[in-house]
Amino acid sequence: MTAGPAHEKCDTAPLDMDFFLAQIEKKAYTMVKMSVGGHADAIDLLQDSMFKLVVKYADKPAQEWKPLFYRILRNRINDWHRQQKLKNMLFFWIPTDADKNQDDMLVDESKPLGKPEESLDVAQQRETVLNELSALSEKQRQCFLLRSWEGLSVAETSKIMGCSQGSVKTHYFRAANKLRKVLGEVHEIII
Amino acid sequence: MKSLFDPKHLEKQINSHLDKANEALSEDIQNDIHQARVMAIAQAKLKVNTLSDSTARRIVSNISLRHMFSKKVIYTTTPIALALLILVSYQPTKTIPALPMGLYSEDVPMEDLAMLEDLEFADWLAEQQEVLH
Repeated sequence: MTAGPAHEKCDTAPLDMDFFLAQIEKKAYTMVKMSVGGHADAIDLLQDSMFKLVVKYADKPAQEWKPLFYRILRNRINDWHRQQKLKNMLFFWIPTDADKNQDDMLVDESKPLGKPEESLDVAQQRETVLNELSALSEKQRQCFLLRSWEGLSVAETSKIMGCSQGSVKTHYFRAANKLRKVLGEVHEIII
Repeated sequence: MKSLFDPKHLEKQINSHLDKANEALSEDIQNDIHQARVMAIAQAKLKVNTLSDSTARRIVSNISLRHMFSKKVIYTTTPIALALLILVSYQPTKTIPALPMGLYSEDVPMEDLAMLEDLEFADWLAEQQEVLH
């Protein structure tokens, strides 16, 4: 697991910050959306993280931008969760943003999931995958997405998440196991 | 219909679903993401420019005001300035007048020296006669 897909990442450095952000913005949005639930909050956190990256780290080598960006993003997500927790404690009788966002989860059932030619089975599988990823714990999901989808190494992921490399391996293994179990049971996906 | 657990295969399948979900994001969401990026970069540029301006202004004000009137500078420069002032304005009352420049440059002729000695002798004789009378 240590080698991982991190070594598959392309060596070509992004030309500039705008190009780099354009490359990762959709993935980052999806990750934030899974964490916070709401579209507006996800966009705010994304913009805030991009802003901080440009202001603070634009002079760093381009190869360092991705881990730095995801570290900023992760901190912003954690801050958001802390604020929500505090808000819940202070205004416990008012429905929280997170509750409201439950209706606005990643998969919008009113819209078609993919292209019309796509089979219903594949669309359902995707819905299940997204829902199961959203249902994972924050650390497991972040770890799995950073490692497998973004192709970051164990060392980079541990720096981003602020934990040891052993913890990263544990989170990844647990996340992968849960996903395998659920996807295997529900859709009999061969994994 | 299960096989041995292969994390690479699982990753591949999930990544494929996630990529397709990203491709299927609505136009509105894509526009919002694009706007967020554009705004972030514009704000960052503005902030960087503002920071550089304020830094320059701070440096100038530090040099002109705070630095010039700091206690350390005042304690060091005031005694030096006073000492210089005293040194420049001091003029000793009993001064020996300087020799005329002619004396340095011109040689005094021997005849003049003899005449001076004669005059001094005549002056001395006159004084002696006055004492005797």
